[in-house]
Amino acid sequence: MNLKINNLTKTYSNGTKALSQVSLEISSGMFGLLGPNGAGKSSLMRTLVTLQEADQGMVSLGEIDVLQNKDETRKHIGYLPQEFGLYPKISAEVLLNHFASLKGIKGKTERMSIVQDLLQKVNLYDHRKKNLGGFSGGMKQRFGIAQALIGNPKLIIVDEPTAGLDPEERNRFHNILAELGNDAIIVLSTHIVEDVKDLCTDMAILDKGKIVLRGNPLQIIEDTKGKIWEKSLDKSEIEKEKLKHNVISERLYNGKTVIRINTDSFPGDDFHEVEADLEDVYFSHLKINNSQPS
Amino acid sequence: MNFKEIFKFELQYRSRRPANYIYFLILFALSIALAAMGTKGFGDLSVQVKANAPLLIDRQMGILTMPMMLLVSAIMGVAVIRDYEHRMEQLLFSTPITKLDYLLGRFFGSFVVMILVSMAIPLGSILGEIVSSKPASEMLALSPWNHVRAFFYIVVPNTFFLSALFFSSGVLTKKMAVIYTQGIVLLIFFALLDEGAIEVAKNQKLSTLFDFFMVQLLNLKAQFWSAAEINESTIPIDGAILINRGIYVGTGVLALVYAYFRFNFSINSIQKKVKSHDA
Repeated sequence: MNLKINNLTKTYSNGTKALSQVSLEISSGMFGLLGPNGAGKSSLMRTLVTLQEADQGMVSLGEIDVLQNKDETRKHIGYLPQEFGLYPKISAEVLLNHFASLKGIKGKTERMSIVQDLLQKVNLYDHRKKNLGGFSGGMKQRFGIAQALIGNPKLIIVDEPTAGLDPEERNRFHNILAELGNDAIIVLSTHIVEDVKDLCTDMAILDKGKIVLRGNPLQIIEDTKGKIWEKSLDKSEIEKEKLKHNVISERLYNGKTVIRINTDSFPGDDFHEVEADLEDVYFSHLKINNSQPS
Repeated sequence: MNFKEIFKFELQYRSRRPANYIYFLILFALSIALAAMGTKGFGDLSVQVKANAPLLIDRQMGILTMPMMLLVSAIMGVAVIRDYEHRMEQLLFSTPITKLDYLLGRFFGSFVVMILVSMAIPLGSILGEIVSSKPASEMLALSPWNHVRAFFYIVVPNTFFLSALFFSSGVLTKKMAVIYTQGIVLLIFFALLDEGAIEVAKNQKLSTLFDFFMVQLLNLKAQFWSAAEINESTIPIDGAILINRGIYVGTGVLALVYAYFRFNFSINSIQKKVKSHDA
């Protein structure tokens, strides 16, 4: 089963164009939707889970028309929103059980066993009796993924799941995502390049409401091979270099500024070629998109 | 059908919140105090009228729904707002629940809690009558039925109207401040109406049809009764009283229907963080 998005467009009442003719076809497996904050990722995710109306376009999940048939769509999706909270004065087990019931798992014994399994899966079993108000960010996020997995949904949407997690928690969360297998379509929306690199076999970059790149992460990196050059320089020289070259990123390394540029041929000066990574691809495309009139 | 699950969860959730028990105790204490003190002083009644005559019990119930208003706003307003305050709305609204199940489950779950809390009024009134220091000559024998009757025709419809109104405002505005303000404004308005300080279309008789706390309306009903009649008979639930009750129950139903049609699961793109008023 595929998720098809066709010409999806959304403009907010304040004039912000959140989505501009987004078209994507996504099949099962982990799909990474990469983009900076404000690119329209959450708008797209909310539209896919029926919580937001689109102005134009079509979305279908298999045979289901997502925009028209919301009730039916919701039977087949699991959603972890970017920002959410949980009732603080209630235990993880009780709330997860409530969600399982709302998601249509009516048999009490069946529900209990699903809840226990999910709590094991996300490593919260030992904390199941604890009130959710006492959960850390990472635990809350793991609870969020547990509720999204109830009832084996065909489409799982995970919006910025690792934002605000410490490295250890992020790792743990990645492992949980990686174990989800390939039966469902999993859309992972993030602004963190590493998330996509580590987990996804298919991806797209969304910027200013538009899809600016689409493909397999490894292939995309391969295509950029030999085009990324690096130079370390003094901070004061950056502006000069920006005039001469297509600077895609600048960062500090050992107290010195290191810039990277994207160009097909040897740029001369003190540049040396470096192995391209997904971040270089990402910044290159954001750069190109930003230099175009929107 | 998810109504049952949402209803059950609401009850379960509320049963763990200490605030609801505190509300009950506040209302219980007020009811005991008012019943022990008696409300005979309100309006000029003959000395032969007993302190716990049915009319006085009825009026007492009406008066006690005044302080209850603020409790209703706290309990009913939060029913749906809570999901936004705790930022649970996206998780909930992406599950296959229907709008009807969600709203009815939240409403009736909370309304049952509200009715349980409002039972502090008849229970307190009975206890207040028992502990009252008034001499036996000024009292009739205790009749729990009179309290139960007054509860069902005065307190329950009033609770329903206020519950439906505050619940609906919560659904539509998602702001507790609006509901508290509304509660206070309505309390003042109804109190003035009940005092006769404001009149609908400058017509006292018409005004009593809208008399929410019912003191004026009940006085009017019994204005030509002798002391003996007041002591022996209950106020018949007919005519103006029936119309009055119908107006408020009907308006409550309309408020709920309106909220149902105006509400939807869509999430606004711009979300503000709200303070918690959990009850």
